[in-house]
Amino acid sequence: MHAQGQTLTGSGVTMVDRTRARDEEFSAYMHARQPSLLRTAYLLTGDRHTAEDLVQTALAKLYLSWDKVQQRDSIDGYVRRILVNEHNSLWRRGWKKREYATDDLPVEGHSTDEYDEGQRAAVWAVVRTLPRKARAVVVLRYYEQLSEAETADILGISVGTVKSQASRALATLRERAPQHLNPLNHEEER
Amino acid sequence: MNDTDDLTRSLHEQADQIGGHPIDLESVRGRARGIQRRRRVVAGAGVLAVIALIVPVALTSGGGLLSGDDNPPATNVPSPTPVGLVKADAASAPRGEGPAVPWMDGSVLHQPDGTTTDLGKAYQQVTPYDGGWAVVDVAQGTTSFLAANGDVRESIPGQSLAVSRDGQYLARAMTATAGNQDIGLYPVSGVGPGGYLSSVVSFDGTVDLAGFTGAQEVAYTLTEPNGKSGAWVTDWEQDPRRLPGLIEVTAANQATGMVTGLTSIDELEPGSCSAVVAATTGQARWETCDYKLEAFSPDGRYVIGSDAYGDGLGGTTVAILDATDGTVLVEYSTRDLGFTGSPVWETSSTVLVSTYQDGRWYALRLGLDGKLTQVLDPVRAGDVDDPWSWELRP
Repeated sequence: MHAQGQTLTGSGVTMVDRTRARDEEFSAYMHARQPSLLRTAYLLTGDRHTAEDLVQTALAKLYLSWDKVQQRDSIDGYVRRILVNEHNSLWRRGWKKREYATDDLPVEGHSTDEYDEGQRAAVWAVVRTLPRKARAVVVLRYYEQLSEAETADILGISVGTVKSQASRALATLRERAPQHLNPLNHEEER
Repeated sequence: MNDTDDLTRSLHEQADQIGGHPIDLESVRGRARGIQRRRRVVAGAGVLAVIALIVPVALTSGGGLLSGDDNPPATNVPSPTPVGLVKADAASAPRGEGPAVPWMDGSVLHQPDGTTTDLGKAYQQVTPYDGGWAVVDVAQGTTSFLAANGDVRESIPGQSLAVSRDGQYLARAMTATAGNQDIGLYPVSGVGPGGYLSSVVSFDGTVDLAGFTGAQEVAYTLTEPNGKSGAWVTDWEQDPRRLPGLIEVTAANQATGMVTGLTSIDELEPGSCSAVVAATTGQARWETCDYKLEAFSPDGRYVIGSDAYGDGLGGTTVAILDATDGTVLVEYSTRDLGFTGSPVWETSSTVLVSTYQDGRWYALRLGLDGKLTQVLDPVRAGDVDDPWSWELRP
């Protein structure tokens, strides 16, 4: 017979203290960054519940890697990478298919308000229909405002691919939401 | 203002509306434990699979069990000349002979001799056992033992089992009285009900078997309730022993007594490192961070390497490495073409794998010589629906 609980080594008190300090550090980071991560996750996923789930998973993976990440320059960069990678990961693909298995613009999000005359909703509706990787490029480039190189690094793709994905996404947006995303139309409106 | 400014503003306005439920540390830790378990579950099955598949059993082309001599342990035979990188364009691969191992297509079990048996439902794993089949239903979390004609003899909870190389023993993880995690060793014949050996390997962890490393010895991953995992070996006689340095066992080979396992996972880079380790001594033969090491070839000479981190749009790498020193003999890449499912050994020198490319699934045979052939007709299907389940070999 073998008891797994007997395999720990070292001073129990020291380990407990270290774990507590580690958890406190992690909690502080988590509470500070959670809203921002949720916003990015929402833009990646297009739905709040999935976004919450994605953030929780990303934070869990960060938690598992916390000791390593502490020694690195940018925790935000790493957790963003985890977020995007997790979003792309296959375990979640079934969900994504159910949510976005259509080329039609979603009805949700077309509500018009006084402030933007529907612009925000129309652009968002098109963003939601972009392929997952293209949308990740759009979110990282135009929401997180990362450089092409930083975006490429996080997604594990080349700068050239970032450029082409962004260009294609913008072309789609111009084509499908022309009245809201076209400089010439803005000129005409003025 | 230009269109990217508009886009940025639109995204910010959309995102700023979002409020969520606060996530607390306890939920994050709980999820972390789940991730640890999930890693273990998918470890042996590649990025597409969602099942833990084990099963060292050899088949003849007709589906019967072979003696161990048909797949002799690795010897000092010189390794083939490394081929290097091969672009695996499934669509342009020529059609070759059909698979030499059984496979499932929907509920129908196909055997290499053309025999088909409708098992009544789709199973994600099929393994020859006791003149019939041991099959796993992942959705139900059950293992069933079927007669050769597909009739269900018995169904049991759990999907973690391993069959010895000669087919004479089956090991399975089970929760025994008082919640202990046991691994039971069942002789295929000669012993009546209750005639099995039991090894209590944990009081409160979860066990996933990787396979036999000896005649009556199995390697397994044990995950503790706190999410920490480790690689272990039990022989039902002595206390289980830990294989140091491994956080989980991915595959085992009874012919050589070696296991593959993960030594580290890096979510940040992201990547992972794997090693080939001798089960008897716990000594690592070699380690790589270029691939995640998967199943050994039946004779133990080679080992499959897949992408070191299984994220993204599916795997793009199936490499075959020399199991003795890690030399990369051939690496098939589907990068920029599509992605691969879970590779399995067909013979001691060929691998079968499903790949998805341009809206179709292809069943490919990958050789040590860098040649790939289609073994079944392509199927047009969704990219998450691998149409085939391959019988696994050690």
